[in-house]
Amino acid sequence: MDTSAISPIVSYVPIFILIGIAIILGLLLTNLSRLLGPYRPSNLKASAYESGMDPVGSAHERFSVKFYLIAMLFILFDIEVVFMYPWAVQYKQLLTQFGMFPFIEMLVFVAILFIGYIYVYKKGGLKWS
Amino acid sequence: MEFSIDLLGQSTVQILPILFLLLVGLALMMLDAFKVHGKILPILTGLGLIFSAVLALAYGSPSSQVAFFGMLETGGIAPLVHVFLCASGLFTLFFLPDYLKRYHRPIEDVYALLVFAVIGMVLMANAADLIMTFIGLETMSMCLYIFAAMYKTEERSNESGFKYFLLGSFASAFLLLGISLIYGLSGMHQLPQAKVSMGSLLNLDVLANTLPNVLEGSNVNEIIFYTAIGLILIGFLFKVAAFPFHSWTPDVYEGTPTPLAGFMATGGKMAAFIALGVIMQKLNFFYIENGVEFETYPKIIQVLAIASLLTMIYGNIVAARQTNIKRMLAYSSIAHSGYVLLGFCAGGDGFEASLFYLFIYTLMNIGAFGMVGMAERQYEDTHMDHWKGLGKKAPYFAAAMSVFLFSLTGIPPLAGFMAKYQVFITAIRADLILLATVGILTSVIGAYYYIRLIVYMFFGEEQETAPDLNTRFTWMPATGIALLVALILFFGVLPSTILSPIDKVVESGLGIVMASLGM
Amino acid sequence: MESLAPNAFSYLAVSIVMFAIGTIGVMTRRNGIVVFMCIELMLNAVNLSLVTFSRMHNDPTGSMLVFFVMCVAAAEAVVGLSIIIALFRNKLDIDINNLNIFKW
Repeated sequence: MDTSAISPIVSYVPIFILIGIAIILGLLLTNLSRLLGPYRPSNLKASAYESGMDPVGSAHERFSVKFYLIAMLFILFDIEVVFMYPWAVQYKQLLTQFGMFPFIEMLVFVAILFIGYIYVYKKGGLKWS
Repeated sequence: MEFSIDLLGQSTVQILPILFLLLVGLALMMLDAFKVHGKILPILTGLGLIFSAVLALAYGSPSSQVAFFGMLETGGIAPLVHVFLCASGLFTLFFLPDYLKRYHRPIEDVYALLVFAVIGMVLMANAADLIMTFIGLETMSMCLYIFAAMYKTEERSNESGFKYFLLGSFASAFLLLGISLIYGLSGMHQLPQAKVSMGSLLNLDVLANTLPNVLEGSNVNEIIFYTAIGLILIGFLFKVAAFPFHSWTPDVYEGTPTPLAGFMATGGKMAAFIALGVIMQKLNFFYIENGVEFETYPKIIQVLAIASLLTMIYGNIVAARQTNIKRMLAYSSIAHSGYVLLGFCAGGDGFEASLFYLFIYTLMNIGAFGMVGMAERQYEDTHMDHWKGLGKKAPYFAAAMSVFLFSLTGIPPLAGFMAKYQVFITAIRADLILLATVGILTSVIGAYYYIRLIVYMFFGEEQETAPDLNTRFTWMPATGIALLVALILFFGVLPSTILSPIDKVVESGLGIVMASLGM
Repeated sequence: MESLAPNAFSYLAVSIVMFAIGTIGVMTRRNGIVVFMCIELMLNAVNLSLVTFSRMHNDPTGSMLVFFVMCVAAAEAVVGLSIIIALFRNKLDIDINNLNIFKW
């Protein structure tokens, strides 16, 4: 298909349709039960649901710093995939052009990451308690 | 310029010194993770740095050569720069383990970080491509941020680390915008055949070929170019703590473990200066506008000259008012940045003089910071009053410190004098009389605050609070101090032993560009 | 090009505006984390301009640099957040106006 003939806006139409469907579906599903089922609110029913227990405290509590630690480690190892993606896309071409070198290079990259992982593990970065 | 596709061959051999450093760094990380602690880590780090420097000298060539798709310069000035930066790391190591042990539980990660910081510095200083410059700069900065914030329970350390981090990443965002603008310009005038053989449009050699065509006759492009250069200058002037972007320096150095502050002030500064110098030399070219021939470097020099002038004046005057030695050294390191910039402004032999100055400055400043670290009474307490009368209590200590301080002042026959002399003489030869005069006058102010400390040590009243320094002379710092003092005396008497290699590599590595300057 | 098509200069304009917002944010905001977010915004503004230039010149260098900038930004985020957490644990405050231990 010759995409250059189409206006750039037109190529976004499927995304707009998708966004529209998502909004409609979301609104529909959240309101469907209210429309179809009986609606008799009471004090008890309106209270927050905490596995059947009485609600304890506010929901706006501080998160433990452990979450930040895990999140930061996640970012570190997550972002490395950014380098593997173009490598993987171009791999066949690289293979014909440079032979095994790109593969070995990526192995070295992963090995360095793995050393980082061992370091984090040994230092107790992944311990929860 | 051709790239050999002999990837596992020549290119890998050329970057062997850096690969080796990387291996050492990873090994140190693993040793630390598996709780192998003690004296072995600093010794291993030191041996790694020495061996890497030897490798760099062995595999470097006197003429310029690039490795890894034009990303890294491995010939020309690169081997020598590698040796200088490794030396900066090595001399820091002499003071580090004792310092860490004395006040806090030792933090063994610091050795791996030191190696990684050296790798970042080498990558930045020897970059042949602006991408590599940015990556090297960030690798180095990241390690230095951690150094500044290393003692996580100390509020001072937190604060200095946080300040350094925020301001540092702010400055590198500007640098990055400059690189992006240069990239936008470089593609304006495409050389299709050039693109195939060369890796990247941000390669400095490629830029030197493409940018003159882009700037020719286009006012808009010229404005964009100088904006980009200005932004890159902001990034680098921040890293070297030159005048308008200096304000972080004293706070960060004060909160950083003292030997590591010395490392920051020398290695980090040297790497940033060399990277700046190489970029400015390589992006120096002629272009024609309205029939008149323009050259880029003289225009940049005007900015550098103002920065240099203000840096020398500000650094020295404020340093004279300090009562805390560490802050005094921090402000004096700002002042020294001004002298190095003065060499840059001179053009011609100026770059060589600056390189020589940076090397000598590294020796004396690491020594000074290291000894301040030894004399600390408790964590980060470096008030000058505690130094009164040290000359009687610890004569060797005071004598060695005096050598460093006299050298920083620039008193013959010490190396600091030769370094200053070289910079000033090249500046005078380049007709920068005003700058050279201000440089000499501000050196006199420098003499006041350096020598005041010496007077305190030898003629001050003995203080009860002074620490017992004789027990702190273990073999490691003692060896380091002896080596540094010997080198300072040696290069002071025979400066040509290091000046002539610098001259040779700069001539052959950057020679073509320098010749076209005609200065 | 159609009039509706966003051309390269619109992207560059967005990038410059984002960079300016980031810069102003760094200089005016007092919360450490917000300042840090503004710096990340500046980096991302530069990324946008790099991708635009890369597309304009039909050259992969710019996109390549973007990958590295993203990676550097992630590493910076980790180091920065760690420092902020350490600071918060000691001071229970990340207002940058209260960073005033050091006096000259």
